[in-house]
Formats: sequence, C-alpha cells, structure tokens
Amino acid sequence: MKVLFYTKMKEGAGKRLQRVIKGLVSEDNIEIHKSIISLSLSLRQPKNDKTIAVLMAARNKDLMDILSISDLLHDISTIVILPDSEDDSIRKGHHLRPRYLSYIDSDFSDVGAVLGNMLRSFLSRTETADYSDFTDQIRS
Amino acid sequence: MTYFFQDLRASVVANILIIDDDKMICDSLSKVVKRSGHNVSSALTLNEGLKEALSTSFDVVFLDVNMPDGNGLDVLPRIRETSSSPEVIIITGSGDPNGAELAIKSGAWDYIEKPLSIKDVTLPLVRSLQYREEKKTRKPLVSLKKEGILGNSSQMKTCFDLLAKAADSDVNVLVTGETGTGKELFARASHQNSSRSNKNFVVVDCAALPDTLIESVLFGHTKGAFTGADRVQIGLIEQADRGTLFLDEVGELPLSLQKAFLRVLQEHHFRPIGSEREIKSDFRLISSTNRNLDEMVQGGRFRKDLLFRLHSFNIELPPLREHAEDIKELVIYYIAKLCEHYGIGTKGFSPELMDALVAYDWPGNVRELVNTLERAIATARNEPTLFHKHLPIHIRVKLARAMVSKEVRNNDRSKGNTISAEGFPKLKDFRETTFAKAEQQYLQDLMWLTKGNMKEACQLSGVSRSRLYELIKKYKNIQL
Repeated sequence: MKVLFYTKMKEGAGKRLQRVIKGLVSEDNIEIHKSIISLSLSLRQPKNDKTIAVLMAARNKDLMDILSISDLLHDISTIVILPDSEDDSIRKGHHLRPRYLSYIDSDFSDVGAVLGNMLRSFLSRTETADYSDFTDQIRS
Repeated sequence: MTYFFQDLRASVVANILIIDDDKMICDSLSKVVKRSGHNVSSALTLNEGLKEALSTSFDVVFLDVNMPDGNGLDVLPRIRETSSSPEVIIITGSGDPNGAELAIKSGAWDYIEKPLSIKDVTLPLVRSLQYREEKKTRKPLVSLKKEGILGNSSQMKTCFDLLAKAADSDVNVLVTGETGTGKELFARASHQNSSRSNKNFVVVDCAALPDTLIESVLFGHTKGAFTGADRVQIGLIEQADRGTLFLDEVGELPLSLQKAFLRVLQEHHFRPIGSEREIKSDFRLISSTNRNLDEMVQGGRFRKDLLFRLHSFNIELPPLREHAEDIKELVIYYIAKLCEHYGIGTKGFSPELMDALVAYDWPGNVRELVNTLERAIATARNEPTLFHKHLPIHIRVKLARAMVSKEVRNNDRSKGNTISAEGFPKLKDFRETTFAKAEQQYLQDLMWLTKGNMKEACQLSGVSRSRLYELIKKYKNIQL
C-alpha cells in the first residue's frame, strides 16, 4: 500500500498535511513529490501495491498541473486539496473524481479521518493482494 | 373489449409467431393478432417454430412450454439469438413459479398462463411492441462513450442496453454488483452519455466519509455552525446542481442521515447545517452498492422509502466468473493499456497464462484482474512475454489446489469403503443416497469445468437447460 503525496509547499499547509499523513502511514509507504514531473514518473511505474494519492493544489496553477496528468490518475483513489472554494476550482477538482475534496485552509483533520477510513477499507476488501506485510503499518 | 382492440391498433405492422401444439390456441391467438393489424404465423412443434424463427424476422413470439418435441424454455435462448431478437412471451398451461422465474431469467418478456383471456394476451403484446419501437429510436450502442467497459457476452450486452437507457433519462439509477465489477465506471458512463455531461460528476464515497463528517460534507454548513466550522462550506449536493451526484456504497450511508437525504431526493431542497435558508439543487442521482439493500431494509439498517427512491432504475453488473468469455478481451485490452501507461513495449502472453486467467474465479472481479495484470507486468519487467509464472503466487496456488482437489475427488470415487454390520443401510436408502451424491458431484464438476457457463454445461452433459436448472436448485450448495 502506498500513499503518494503531492505538494509544492515546503511549509504551512504542506507541512501540516504531511504530519497528518505520517500519523497514519509509516514513512516507508509514503512517497512525497514536489513536482508534477516527479509525480507523473512515479504514476507511470508498474505498481505491486495499492495506491492512494493525496494531491494538494495551493494555487490554481497547481490544480491545472494536476489536471494535465489526470489520465494517469483514473484508476487511483484520490483526495484533492483545492486552493479555494470558487466554482471554477470545485469544477476542476471534480474532474479528477476524488473520493474527498478539502481546501487549503483546512486543519486537515477531515482529510486524516477520510484517509484512515480508505486505508482500512482497502485492507478489508476480498481482493488479491496479500496485505500481511502492511497491516502492522497502519497506525490507529 | 373495444378498449383493448383500440389499444392494439399500432401504427407499425409487426410480425408475430405463435408456437403452440394446440391448434385451437394457435387459431384464436392468430385471430386476435390479425384483427390488430399485424402479420401472424404459427407452428405446432418446436422444430417448426424454430425453423420459422430462423427464416423470418419476427417481433414477438408466443411460445408454449409443454410441446410434443421438447420444452419451450430450452429453445427460448435460440429464438432470442436470431437476427431480429424477438421478444418472447411464454404461454403455459401448468402454473409453476419456478418455471416463471426460469422463463424471465432466460430472457422472456412475460409469462402468461392458460386458459388465456384476450386481456392476458393483448397487454404484453402491446407493451413488447411499444418497447421495440422505442428501442429503435434510442442512441445506438456503438456511439456510447464507455471507456474501459468491455464485453461481448449476452450479460454485458444487456448491461450496455441498460446503460443507454439510463443515459437517456434523468431517472435515479442504482448500480449493483460485487466489488470490482465496474459500478463506478457505469455510473460515470451514465453521466458522460447524458445531457448533464458538461456539469459536475460529484462522487460521495459513503464508505470513506466518517459518520461525523458526512452530513456537513453532503449538505454544507455556515461559518460557526459547529465547533471547527471556521468558514462557509458548500456541500456536495449543491456542487452537483445540474450535474450528477454519485453515492458510492450507498449502503454505508448512516441511518440517521437517510431520512434527511430522502427529503432532498423528494423535494430537491435542503438546508446547509446552521443555515436558515433553503437551497435548491437539481441533481441527477446515481448510487452504487455491493450490499443487499433489501436485506438491510429487513434488518432495519436501510430505509425502505429511500430504497424505493434509489431503485427507480437498476443496472446489475454480473460477477466476472459468470461472463468468463469476456476475460480474453479484457486481458488483451488491459495489457495493451497498462504497457502504454507505463511507457513500455507491449507484452505478449502465453496460452497457458490465458488458460489460467480464464480458469480462475476472480472473487475481486475485473478490478482484481486488472491488478493482477499490473503485478504480472511488474514482475515480468523487461521480459517481452507474460507467462504463468508471472501471476501472483496466491492465484497459482488456488488454481493448482483446484486441479489437485479434482484429481483427489476422482480417486476417492474408485476407493472401496470399509463396512460393518452396525449402521448398515437398507439397499433402497443406499441407492438413493449414493445416486444423489454422485449426481451432486457430477454437477459440481460440470460447473467447475464449464465455469458456470450454462450453454456449455448443457452441451457437455446432454441435459436440457430447464432440467439442469432444476437439478442445481435441488442441490443448493452447487457452486456456479
């Protein structure tokens, strides 16, 4: 199981969300990407693990960058953080079919709660993957 | 009487076929149909009827079950597979709820019992012809956007037909099926092919949203509505205005919220938390679930009135094991797509790999198949061909165990049993028990071998479809 975290923000909201994610998933299972190229290269790698992408758009340009690689995200469960709650940003956000939408000014406790549920749900599905190496890595 | 004749006078002349061994029934029905302005042919045996159906395009076929040369239900699929794919109305003298169930499951339009009244016959005839007329004017399937949704089996063709109907209307749709069958893909396709396609498709993951959050996420809230609400939030229902609201895993919607959501469905008005103002949202609702909502209603975990609203139109997606004939097409498509996605050269696959993929029962359905192909490609790395060895271990083990179990069962049958006087059965009881066990084992093996494909099972066993269904029902634990 992997969590891909995309943010261009080294401090502030980026750091805040990173803390929330690290509280749920061991560092070995988090990939942090600070550029869209890095993220798209990672998405193009064959995966042996289930993946959740947490995508933070601090500005409209970041959102457009994420949209430019939306084809690479269509099979991945995503949580998208929007720069604002304007209609245009919301419309672009929904284009990514996210499991959850939050906003840059949130404290991200909501994102943590949703991400936790998604991780638990992945574990309980009756699908192929052998998750025995991951169960001890989910922190309650 | 006059009402029904007026109702029958359709604007289009249809071709009707009557297959019944009772000449009087054939003549009376023919008169009724001719009076309505349609063409009619009749046949007194199944053989004759099938020849007629193959040589002429019919719109509706009245088919008797108990015929001198066989059971009408056995030829129903063949009639449906003719080029005109007529609607079949089953007529029978012996009322049988199991037979009715089998008829409908086999694709019959309706099931009516003798003795017939004109009303019994005319209403299904009128409705089936109306349905065929409307079907002709519907958008052809080939122009439907259905990216990633594949299949040529009869089950998937039925689903595509339902998808086209769903896309053409604003009715609430409930997409059901096991996990991994593509429910969200169908929901998206319904939206993309609808008049709302240029508006938001808003996903509500009812399983991912905690109970403490779901109400404010759906309805939105005002600043200060509750502790932590430090700004206004627009709810997902409002964000779906003039678009589509997709409730994924709707069975997880908390009972406490179902009443409020039902009101929104009924009135399309709602009030964000903390607000005094009602907001209107014109959204189209699509829901999905892998749960049995009827059972949840009975268990008091889901509201019956809400289910009634969600269920206006149902698309039930079959598990992959029930349309295994689509696996090859899916494998070819997804291997190519995955290789393109990863920017690597396309990979071939060995026949043994394909055999294994077709033999596996895919409890996780298409999603599991795609994940498996991903893992196989990752395991193969730079190798140009995917082999059996590239499959995940647990799949190879399961297939191997299934093969070994079959051999062990075969060997067990030839072993003798140790006997004693104590508990020695009567010959009659022994015969009945032994025969039942052997018959049950035979059916289990047949289903395993044919992967639940009924057509193949009938051909292999030489047993008619109706008889096979009877036997499967008799031994309830036969796994299809």
